[in-house]
Amino acid sequence: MVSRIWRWFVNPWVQLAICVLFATVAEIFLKLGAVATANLASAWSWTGLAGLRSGWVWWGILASLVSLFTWLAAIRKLPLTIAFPIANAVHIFVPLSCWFFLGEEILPRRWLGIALVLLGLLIVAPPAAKLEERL
Amino acid sequence: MTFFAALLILLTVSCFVAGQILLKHAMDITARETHSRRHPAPIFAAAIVAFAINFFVNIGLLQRFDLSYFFPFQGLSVIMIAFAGAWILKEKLSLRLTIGSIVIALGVILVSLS
Repeated sequence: MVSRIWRWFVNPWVQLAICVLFATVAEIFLKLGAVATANLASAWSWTGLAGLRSGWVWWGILASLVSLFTWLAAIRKLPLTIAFPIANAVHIFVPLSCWFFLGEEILPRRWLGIALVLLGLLIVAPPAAKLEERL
Repeated sequence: MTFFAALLILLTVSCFVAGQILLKHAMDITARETHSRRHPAPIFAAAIVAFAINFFVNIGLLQRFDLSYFFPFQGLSVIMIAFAGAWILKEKLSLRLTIGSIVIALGVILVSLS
């Protein structure tokens, strides 16, 4: 049972999905931390170092690291020509998360972009599925 | 946009693509069952150098331009990685995958434009 869960977990597609999920989570956490510590009057504000005072930023850094290591695990098995376009799903999840969790507005042009990325993913999906059979 | 700015944008996107190709190459070496004579560490280091150049040139560009002005150019990385993967890593690039990558790149450009 444990080995079956482990085998599922180390599957490169699962690693790629975790990578995209955590890249999205990292962006949201970093945004929350940046807003919580923003002090634009300070001369050093542009360095972003003040953000380190926020717990959100540290969670964001942790999520970024998870995203990086799962990306490495994914490309260890998957061709870059397939993994990289799929990883661009972050351009769907980040704006949608900003809209849903942060209340940010999505302009019509951005909705169109999200739709195009989704369409591109659907085009890339069959070659990815073929690869899955070979893995 | 000046010629120099265009060169810098091309440099930052190229460094990002080079970093990804190098990372993939290093991971390919670690994935091989047989012991390769090549060690992945120098390739990882080269990838980090490429990402570092990308990072700092990006900051330099941010100091001069709006993010929404040059960030959409990052969308080009999807297309460049597709071709670089096929050319350098000898990965298979079908017509379908090429079209999918171009559509995703257009989507990323539209999402990035504010």
